[in-house]
Amino acid sequence: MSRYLLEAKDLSKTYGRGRTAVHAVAGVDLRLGPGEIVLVMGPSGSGKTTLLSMLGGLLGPTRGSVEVVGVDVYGLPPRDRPALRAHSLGFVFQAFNLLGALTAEQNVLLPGRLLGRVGADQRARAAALLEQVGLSERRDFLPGDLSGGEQQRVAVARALMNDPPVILADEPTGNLDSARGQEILMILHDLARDGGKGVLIVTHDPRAEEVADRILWLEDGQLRDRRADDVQWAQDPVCGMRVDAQRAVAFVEGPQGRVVFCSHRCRERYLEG
Amino acid sequence: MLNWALRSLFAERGALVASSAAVGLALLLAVLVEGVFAGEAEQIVAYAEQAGADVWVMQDGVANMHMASSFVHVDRIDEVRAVEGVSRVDDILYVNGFLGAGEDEWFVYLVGLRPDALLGRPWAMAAGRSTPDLGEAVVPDVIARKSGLTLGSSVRVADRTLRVVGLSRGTYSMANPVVFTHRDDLAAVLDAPRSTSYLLVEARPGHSARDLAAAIADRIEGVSAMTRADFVESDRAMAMHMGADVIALMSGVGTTVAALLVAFTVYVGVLRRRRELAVALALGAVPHRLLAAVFAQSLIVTGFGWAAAVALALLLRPALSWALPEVTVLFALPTLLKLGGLAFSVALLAAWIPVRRVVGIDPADAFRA
Repeated sequence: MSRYLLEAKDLSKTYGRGRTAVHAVAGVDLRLGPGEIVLVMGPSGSGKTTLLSMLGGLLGPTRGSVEVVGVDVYGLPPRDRPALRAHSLGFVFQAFNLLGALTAEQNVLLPGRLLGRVGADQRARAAALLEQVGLSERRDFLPGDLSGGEQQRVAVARALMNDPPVILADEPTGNLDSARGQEILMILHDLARDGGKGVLIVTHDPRAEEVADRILWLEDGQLRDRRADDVQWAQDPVCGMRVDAQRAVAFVEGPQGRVVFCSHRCRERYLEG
Repeated sequence: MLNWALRSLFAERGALVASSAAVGLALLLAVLVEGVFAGEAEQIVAYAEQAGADVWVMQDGVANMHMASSFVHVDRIDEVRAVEGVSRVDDILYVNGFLGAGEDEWFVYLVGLRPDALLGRPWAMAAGRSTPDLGEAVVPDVIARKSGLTLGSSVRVADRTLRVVGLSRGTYSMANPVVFTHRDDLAAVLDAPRSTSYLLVEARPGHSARDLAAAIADRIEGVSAMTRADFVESDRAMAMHMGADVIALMSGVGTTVAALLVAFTVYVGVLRRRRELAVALALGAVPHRLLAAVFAQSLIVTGFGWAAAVALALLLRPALSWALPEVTVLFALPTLLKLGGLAFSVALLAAWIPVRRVVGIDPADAFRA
């Protein structure tokens, strides 16, 4: 059995065929071990959401495989994948995605209920998780009555309800201000360090680098591994995004040196004036 | 997911009320059409039901009054009286015709009564006498109200003018209001002094109507005899057969509109909750649970709509009777239950298309902000 909680091999996703084919993800290898936090960064349209969907058992790859705790996700019949997701994967979304009609506590209980788990022990676990994220007092609040940071903390508690070994977080700080974003990152950090969970975060947020063990850069569907401190940051003059100057694939050489861009599109705009 | 289905439905009270109201109004249409249908089905045979006869005797081959003519020689009256088990026989002369009331013309059943008849007379009166003399008529109170007739007013039957001496209750239906005249007035119109139409037979206590009808049909030539229950059912079947297509069309339109509204309501609900459904799928919900949740929502909306439709129909009935006295509306429990069952079946069917959208939802949508 694999010593990794999550392992993707030669993972590829192509939309369309022939000359119109788009290779959203191309030959990605990725491993996530217990207690590890891995960041996946990259420009918009680089294939991050497609990669995350495939890792989460939500989108079948064109080629390659995904194993979660040693189980080949796409080797399973489709009808068995929901149970694998509920058992082994916790999801945290950028838009929180709480169910609006359910209270904070009921949202946290939901993944358990999807596995047919109901009862006092489940309620006790939900209460403990809400306490862990500092929301015991707001257990009966509807999502609409919670702040963005609180909603995301409820979402994290929900992701932990079935005690999954892997947490997949998609831009978990994307809709939060600086302080709330930092709170969420620290919760994810503690989950890995103290809970031994494998945490994979897809993000644009450079603050997340502080908690990451590894940073992967996804661009044009391909993933490159690099150390967190092995970066020379520059700012894209068109969109303002931070870009790794050493690895940028879009750049122009000018009289004052190299100007880097997050994508070829930004480079074209720059050249257009 | 059922918990979520209920809570999400009730969390959006405005949408729930609007959806239920829309479904309710469509079902109300179906309920009213069925109610009018049921009311008319009862009223159309009210005379045969209430005339007091245990056995109806008529020309051989005739089995109803609706759109029928029956001529029996008056000598048959005494022959029927002689049959063992017969307590009383009264005959009526009957023909379809027109009643002139001022500017109005009413298609009516004209029933000619003998002055001493006990069977076949109006069974409830709003005003005046129940038995007309020569030159007199008893008309339904609904016709009197609609045409402005009062006791003493004049009405026309063929070339005769008759004076209204009574206003009867319960004798009006849209298809066949019953107007009573003296038998001889009608005989003169028909030019059939030795004929009568139907013999109304009362059985002696202890004699069954069925045996008596069989005995009369067996012993007396040229007539057929039916128990009241058989005669009523035969008449109702004939009348309903003639109006069934129109009623079925109206009922079908009401039900179809209800089905479309249920489908639209559920469809909009699924679209509105698409993101949440995708999230539930991503978290590990199996599609059949989501389907059950959507079906449950559909049934709840239909249930509220159905309850609203029935309540509104019951509330509207007195107003309808007042505003449209010529329309008899009857809400029988079996009919309401039948329509309810139909509505829920339609709701399940109508939810099918939006439910297929649920199955087609991409759980990866949960990642799209």
